[in-house]
Amino acid sequence: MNVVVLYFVLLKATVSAFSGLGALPVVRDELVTNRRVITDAQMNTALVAGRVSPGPIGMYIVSIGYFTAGVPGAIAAWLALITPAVIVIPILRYLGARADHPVARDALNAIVIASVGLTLAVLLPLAATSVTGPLTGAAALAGFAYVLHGSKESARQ
Amino acid sequence: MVPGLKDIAGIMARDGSLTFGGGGPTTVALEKALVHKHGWLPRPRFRLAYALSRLTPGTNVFAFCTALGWQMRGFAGALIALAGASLPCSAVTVAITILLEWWRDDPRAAVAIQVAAAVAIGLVAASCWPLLRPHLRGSSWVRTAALLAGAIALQVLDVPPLRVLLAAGVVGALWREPAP
Repeated sequence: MNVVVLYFVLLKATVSAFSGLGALPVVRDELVTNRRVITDAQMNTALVAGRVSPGPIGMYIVSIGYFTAGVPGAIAAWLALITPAVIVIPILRYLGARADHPVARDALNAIVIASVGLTLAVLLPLAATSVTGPLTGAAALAGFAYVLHGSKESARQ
Repeated sequence: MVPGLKDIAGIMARDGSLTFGGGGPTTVALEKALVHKHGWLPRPRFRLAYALSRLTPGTNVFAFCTALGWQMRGFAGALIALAGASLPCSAVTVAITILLEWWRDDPRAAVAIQVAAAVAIGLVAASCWPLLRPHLRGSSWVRTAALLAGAIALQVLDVPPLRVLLAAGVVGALWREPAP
């Protein structure tokens, strides 16, 4: 598949999503169902790669780019992932100047709290498929304790 | 103190790109480095970047790192932060994809992957706490619990995340956080 086309297909998916896995339906529809350039098995492998890789959950897009067109495909996918991020600059320029107002501050704090709610809602079904026994339960607890310990240390500083 | 572009790239590559578990643990790691350790950003500016990045389409973590870079060093800082936060994890993802293809039929690899995925679940769950903690003091917890429960309910009902966040912003402006 042409990498420029791949870039625009993946950009369409990433720009229409607001969470890590939000782009998944568009990606599957375009690359598995319509264009048939990757298989469902490769899509699942990409999802696993995204979950065990460091960085955002959405890194599976890079893996999908690799499956579609090798290293050039991975580069096209990387570009599709980072392009929407620059939109935050005009948002920050416009809203950032007004963020010190108490009402704006409370609104932004509410967005932070709601974003935690969204994360937890997405996490529950993932946990049901990942934490399936004592070994994975202990692994999840270890991860939990690691971050909690780090945040306590950071709060003390 | 204003950080150099190299400093920003280094922190973003280490804490923004190579932290496991997605956005939550990355946020904790970046707050520890930028706010507490180096003092390059005050906490309100850090949280502003976090909140606004959630309203940006695409991968929120990259928008978050871009916003942090912008606040520290303007446009150059934003580009360096975006590159630093995205390149190392992309390279690692490609390497892991290749390894997964090789190990596809190895049962030991399947166990290792399952354990890594479970660790990631724990990391994400715990990273919610530092974000909620400042909003649980005094009587604030009622508002926090309501916003949290509302967001979870709307997500379960398949309401698009952007609408949930915008609704939370409106509720937050109308239902003010009690003074500590």
